[in-house]
Amino acid sequence: MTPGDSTLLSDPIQEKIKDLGEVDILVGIPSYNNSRTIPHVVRAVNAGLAKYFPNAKSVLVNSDGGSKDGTPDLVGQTNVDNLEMILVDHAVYFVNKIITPYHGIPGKGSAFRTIFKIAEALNAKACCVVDSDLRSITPEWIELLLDPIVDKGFDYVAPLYSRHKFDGTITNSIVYPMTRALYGKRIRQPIGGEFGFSGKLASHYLTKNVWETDVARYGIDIWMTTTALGDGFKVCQSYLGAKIHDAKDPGADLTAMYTQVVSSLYNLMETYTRVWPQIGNSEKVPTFGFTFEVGLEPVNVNIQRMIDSFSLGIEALGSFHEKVITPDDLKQIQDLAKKDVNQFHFPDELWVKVVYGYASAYHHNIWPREQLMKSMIPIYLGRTASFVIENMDSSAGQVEEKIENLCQEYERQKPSLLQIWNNHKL
Amino acid sequence: MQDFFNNAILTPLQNLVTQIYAFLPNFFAMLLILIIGFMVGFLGKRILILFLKLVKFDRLSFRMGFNNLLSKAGIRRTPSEVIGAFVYWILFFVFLMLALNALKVQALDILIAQFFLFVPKLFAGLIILFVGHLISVFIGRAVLIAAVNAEIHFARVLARGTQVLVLVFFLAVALEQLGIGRNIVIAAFSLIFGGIVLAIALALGLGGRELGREWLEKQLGKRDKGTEEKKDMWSHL
Repeated sequence: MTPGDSTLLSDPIQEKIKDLGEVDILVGIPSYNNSRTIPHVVRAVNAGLAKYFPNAKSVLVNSDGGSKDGTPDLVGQTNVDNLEMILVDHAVYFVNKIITPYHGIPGKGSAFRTIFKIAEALNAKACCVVDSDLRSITPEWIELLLDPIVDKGFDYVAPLYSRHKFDGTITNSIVYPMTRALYGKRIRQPIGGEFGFSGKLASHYLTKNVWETDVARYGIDIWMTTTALGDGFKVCQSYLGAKIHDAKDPGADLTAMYTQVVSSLYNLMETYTRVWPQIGNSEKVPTFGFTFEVGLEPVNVNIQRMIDSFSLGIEALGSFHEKVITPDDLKQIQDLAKKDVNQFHFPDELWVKVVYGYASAYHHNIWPREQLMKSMIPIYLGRTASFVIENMDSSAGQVEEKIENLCQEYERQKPSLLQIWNNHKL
Repeated sequence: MQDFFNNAILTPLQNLVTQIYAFLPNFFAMLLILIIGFMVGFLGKRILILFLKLVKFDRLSFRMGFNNLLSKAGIRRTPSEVIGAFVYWILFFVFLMLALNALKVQALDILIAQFFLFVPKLFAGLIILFVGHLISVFIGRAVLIAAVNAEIHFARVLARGTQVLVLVFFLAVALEQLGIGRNIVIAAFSLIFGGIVLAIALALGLGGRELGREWLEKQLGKRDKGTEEKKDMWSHL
């Protein structure tokens, strides 16, 4: 039992769990002020459970972060009105609901922890979590996330989405290629947000004492994926279609989001030092779902602004970068900072060296970790600007090819990562 | 003649020899204390350096910017060695004072008593300055990174200014501890801080109203053009 376990669930919730006994399926929805979208998400979940798992005893868990817009009330009130429209047989279907605030550090990870705890208490066989700000969720998502667990014996299902070519750049430029190079599995969306997992894996997550770290916040997604990979659980991915969600909270600190995700990735390298150095090549993971073309929302990117941020960061943060990046590479980056948009090109090879250099600097505590991670952001913006410039006229397929090349570069440079990981000398 | 010889030369000589004889044990005691002081200082230095290396103090110092300070001061030794040398000289100096005390010279005794009264204050002042430096470097860096990520073009000036300000604060505290120019320090410090606060208030009032409005709107959860632009830069996350 990890610290704070006893206070995770309130007495009424524990009573409700006792009344429910055991369940087959649990669907978790973390939320915070999502009154605009959560009724749609709840309806899709209800319909999905009714349509694809009519004989299973199911429960929907809403783990809320103290919403002030009545989100939990909406979860309680929302039901599927016309099940006859989507069901042939099982027109009468009832999903149990548990609506509870979560405790601990405010963040998605703490919400998930409460969901894991309830899953363990109810001895759920298969679970999934879906974001509460989704606008594109359909009942089929529930089947795609749960079926590999229920019927095919997998422990972890990662989502696979169609995304705009400029959407998810942190996934495309760091998280996917690095997870693939480190752990040898090609999970395309390691931080997708929607996941399926077995009850066994939920209990396994609870044994880890990580709930006071970045995992309690935005680091939860990469942590779940990496823990499943690092501890040898059976993983797969399911194609869900397009992911369209509500606009992000403009007040949210997106710098914090970046640093928490990448810090968690680096932290997990320390946790799984016994695993990733042994892995040479990567392999595909089983993929479920029917892939189809979908219309995608455009993503606005301000290239000039990103280049300006990059140039400013390179000029001002030299004292940080010189302890992380080799002099030759830093010289290349500094030269790049003087170029204009037309000549701006951040090569894959250089970018991978930067990411690996930061991983090693993080491991060796070269700078205070939070400062170190924040000093990486301007370089990331430069790399992203370069990616956008180069792919302005590329099709989705061509962009995917470029990402594949980047992944191969990550894998090619892995021996040098091992070298600097063991001895950070520039 | 014989009396004159006895009174003028022999007796003073005998007195001198007696005094020297009386003084010699004190002198040897002083030498012995000095030798012990040298040995204790040397051993203390070696043990401390070993300990600091074991706890990876040099790496910590690098992270806290202490190395930078040393290199700026033209010191080529590692932080562990510098602290070792500092402790050596402190120990040696304490033993030197004890050695001088062993001579039992009244004028020196007063000086030594005053010195030992001053030593704790000196130590406290030095520690305050040292900690102040570490904190100022840390805060300076945090401001630099935050300012760069907030796209503030004078990030370095802002960071350096913050660092100097924090250091000045700790310098004032250290001088206050040493009892040096107490009133002047307090007055100067109040003037500098008061001036800065006034300058910021004026700058915000005259030139930064837009910035203030944007900040308030952000805090109150209202969207505006600025936040939309910010979202554009990050929406691809």
